Amino acid sequence: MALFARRRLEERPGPLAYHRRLFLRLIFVGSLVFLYAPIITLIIFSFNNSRRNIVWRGFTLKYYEKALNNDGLIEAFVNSLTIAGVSTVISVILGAMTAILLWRFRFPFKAPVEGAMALPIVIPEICMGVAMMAFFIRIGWPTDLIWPFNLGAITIAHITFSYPFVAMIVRARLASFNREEEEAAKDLGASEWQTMRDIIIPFMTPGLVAGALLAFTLSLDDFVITFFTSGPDTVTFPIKVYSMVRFSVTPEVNAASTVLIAITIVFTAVAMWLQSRSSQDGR
Amino acid sequence: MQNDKPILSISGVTKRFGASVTAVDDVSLDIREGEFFALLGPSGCGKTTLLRMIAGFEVPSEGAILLEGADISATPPNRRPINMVFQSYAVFPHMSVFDNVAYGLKVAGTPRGEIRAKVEEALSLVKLDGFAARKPDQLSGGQRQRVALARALVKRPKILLLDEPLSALDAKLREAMQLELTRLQKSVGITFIIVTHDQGEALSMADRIAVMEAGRVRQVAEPEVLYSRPNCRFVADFIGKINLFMARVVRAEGDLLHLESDALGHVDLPCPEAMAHPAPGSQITLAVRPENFRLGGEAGADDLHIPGRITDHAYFGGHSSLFVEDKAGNSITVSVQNGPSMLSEADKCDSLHIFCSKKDVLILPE
Ligand SMILES: Nc1ncnc2c1ncn2[C@@H]1O[C@H](COP(=O)(O)OP(=O)(O)OP(=O)(O)O)[C@@H](O)[C@H]1O
Ligand SMILES: [Mg+2]
Repeated sequence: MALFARRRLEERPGPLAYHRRLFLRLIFVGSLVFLYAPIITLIIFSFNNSRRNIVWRGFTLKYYEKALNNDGLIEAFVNSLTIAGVSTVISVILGAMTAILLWRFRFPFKAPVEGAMALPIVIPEICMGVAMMAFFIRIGWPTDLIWPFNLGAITIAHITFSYPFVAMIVRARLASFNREEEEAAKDLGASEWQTMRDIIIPFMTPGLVAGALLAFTLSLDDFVITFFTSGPDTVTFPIKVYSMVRFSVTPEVNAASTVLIAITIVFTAVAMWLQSRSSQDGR
Repeated sequence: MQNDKPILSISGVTKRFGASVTAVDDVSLDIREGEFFALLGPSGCGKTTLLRMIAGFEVPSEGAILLEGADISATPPNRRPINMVFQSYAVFPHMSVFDNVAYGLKVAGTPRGEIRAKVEEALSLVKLDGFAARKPDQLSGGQRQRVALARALVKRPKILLLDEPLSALDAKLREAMQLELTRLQKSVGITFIIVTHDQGEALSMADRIAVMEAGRVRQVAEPEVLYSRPNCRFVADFIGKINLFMARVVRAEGDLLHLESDALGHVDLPCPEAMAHPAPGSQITLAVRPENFRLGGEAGADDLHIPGRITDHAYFGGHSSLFVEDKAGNSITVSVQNGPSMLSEADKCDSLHIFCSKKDVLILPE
């Protein structure tokens, strides 16, 4: 009898054992379903042997083949990856430099500068898009350049909205830097540049990786701003998908999207692995 | 090792932050080659600021810092043959112990083979052999501090600066490290300048101590001198425990001062050399260390005696502090060695006399 009572006591969830409460479990499962059910459906129906893509008609890979043979889609895909790659590299460099400037130096009007830097994050995307389009037309940005230079306008627009994210992430990381480490390096004979290379940049690395990841995904799936800055020869993947969907929702679109999801997952996994390795090194 | 030639001269150095904060105020000091020098003072008195000026992280607002006669006030820290152990240790977290210690040699362009030998030597000097491959987060606080020490020592600086190196350690480890630091300093023969607010630490480790208050140096002396002949009320009060008594100068007879104090009664004492003769009627401070009082027994010819009663006592193991109230209501602290019967005997007497020899009474200006 006493033994039975003890067992009952053990089975009652403790105040912090949220995972053992039925109600919270239901919410957890429910939110997972709402988040991932559409994506999983998208992936499953990319293998559907039906042109209308409404009911399941059997497994096929033919739409992957079709997507691979769709030159317009592949071109858009390559454009998107190129823009994302270039804008990520430049955003990370600019963002890191901005973060160091704001962390390291005191100068007049620092607070307004810091605020203005975050503007691209808060301004509605549609306004940014219109402003970018107006700007490029106003300065007469050439539209007839050869690949990849014709992607310049889109790349610049993407850098504009993604580098503030990098700057903010790196700045937050730098806030926890122990300035005595920098002084210790100089005390041991390191120059300003050596201190930057050997002490400060290794410390910033997790922030740089996180910033790069964010910049890459922001650029890869941006639609609104890209829409306003792209021309007929500079179609990116989201814009291409949009125009295909306007025609009809074929499994081809699903197939292309699935490939994009796979690429994003691989990229994220690599970045997270890099980050966990560097945080094992440092803090 | 020690000689009187100053390796570092600080002359008339002042450091101001903005218009209102004067962190270091007209400090002049000579540090001798090979000595263990301590900067001692309460929190916020400017010790760290002075140390950072020696290291090169702050530029003096006024005055000059001379290393072996050459002005280094404008030399950046990475070009000074002076190294520092930081209060937070500032060990590089992404580098192994070996790379931490090797860093200063690497940036100086020392050949690889030489680096290995020197790092190993430095690590064994601080008793960290076998730790070379570890990362700082796998070390204890005390071990991290040794890394910081080895990293600075491996550069063979002319002067090693230490900012409160022991404040983050527990009491036992702190005591062990005090001994070890003095041993290390003697064995490497490098001039050490240590900053501390712990007077016990300074007294036990340093060859000479500069006591600072509010940006100024109040006294520079050997520990024994500082303890037995403090030159002012602040130093007397800061170093160890002391009883202070106000006294009035009745008259001066040559070098002999006749004083009247309500606690000590009438006292005549020789005027200290460093002090200008006070005018009759002026107030001065007398001081007696708690351990210079005796309880009971016979009064000698030259002894002062004070009648009073014990109000309280505190037991400290080897010794006890008795709090004696004299007739005028002053509380006097008396330190006694704990013998087997000491306390019970003292407990008994409600009224007693405490004695002290006249030569143990200090006259303090101010
Ligand atoms: N960069 C600075 N800007 C303004 N004031 C400063 C600066 N650095 C130090 N001070 C001021 O100068 C005074 C002396 O500071 P310092 O750090 O030298 O004290 P300290 O003796 O080392 O104290 P502690 O024992 O607490 O470390 C303090 O009043 C401090 O507020
Ligand atoms: Mg300090």
